Amino acid sequence: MISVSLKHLAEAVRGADSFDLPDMNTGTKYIFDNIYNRLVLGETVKLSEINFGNFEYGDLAAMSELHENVFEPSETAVRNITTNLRRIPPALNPVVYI
Amino acid sequence: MEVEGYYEIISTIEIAKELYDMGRQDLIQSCFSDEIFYDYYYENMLEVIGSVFTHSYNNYDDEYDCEVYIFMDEVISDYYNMAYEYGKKHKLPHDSNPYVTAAGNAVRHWLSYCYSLDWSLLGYTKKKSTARQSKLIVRFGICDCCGFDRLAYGLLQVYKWFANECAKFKNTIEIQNKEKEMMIAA
Repeated sequence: MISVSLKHLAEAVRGADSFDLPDMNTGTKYIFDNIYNRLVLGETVKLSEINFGNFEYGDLAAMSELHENVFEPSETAVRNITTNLRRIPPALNPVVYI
Repeated sequence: MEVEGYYEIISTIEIAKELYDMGRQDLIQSCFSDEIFYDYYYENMLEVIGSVFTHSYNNYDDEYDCEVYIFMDEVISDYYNMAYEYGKKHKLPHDSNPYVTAAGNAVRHWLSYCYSLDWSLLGYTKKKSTARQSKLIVRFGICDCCGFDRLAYGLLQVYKWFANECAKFKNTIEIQNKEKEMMIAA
């Protein structure tokens, strides 16, 4: 049986390194801020809102590489941890009869 | 980070960016739905495919189970007319004309990425208005590898190639004409 101490888990999460955004050039950062991140948050993004002069064509490929190699794997890892934690049954408290 | 339909969305933005870089913001407005949504991908790409060249006709070939597109544009007609003049001047047969070969190589480079995509370049050189116009014919079956965004991108590159080559041709002819005039004046 796997048991997890919530106190230790919370301490580990607090002490873990924060997720830092990978280095991006200004064009890729523009795509990340104005398109990608907004789509992740479920926002509607319109073509008319995009300033195509703010990034190069190659920055889109760079964004796709980050999506495939960094963001998606990170999300998958977090999802797996969350799923595994959810599967752990709660420990039963002993019932004391007085 | 989950983005539903990521490939379709990023492909849409790539094509829009390419159109922007070509100075064709008008096509961004006319071919794309303003809202970026993966479900609009096919509609957007088919609009772009049908709009790259001035004239575009398409049909479905039941016998071969494929879409057939015929593209015609001044840049293709002008290119072949100038290639013909070059060939006539240097007494070159059509197959030995380097400009004819170059056009085939360019189209092959951009449109030979999928086994279910085929193309033909028909270059006509008569200048009469009733003469047949030069055209690019593209046939493609619907399959996973024949991405519509890749086809749209390839067609944009083919258009750019013909447009750039026509500009170079015209520049060369202008320089030659000026040299002739200077020689005559001398």
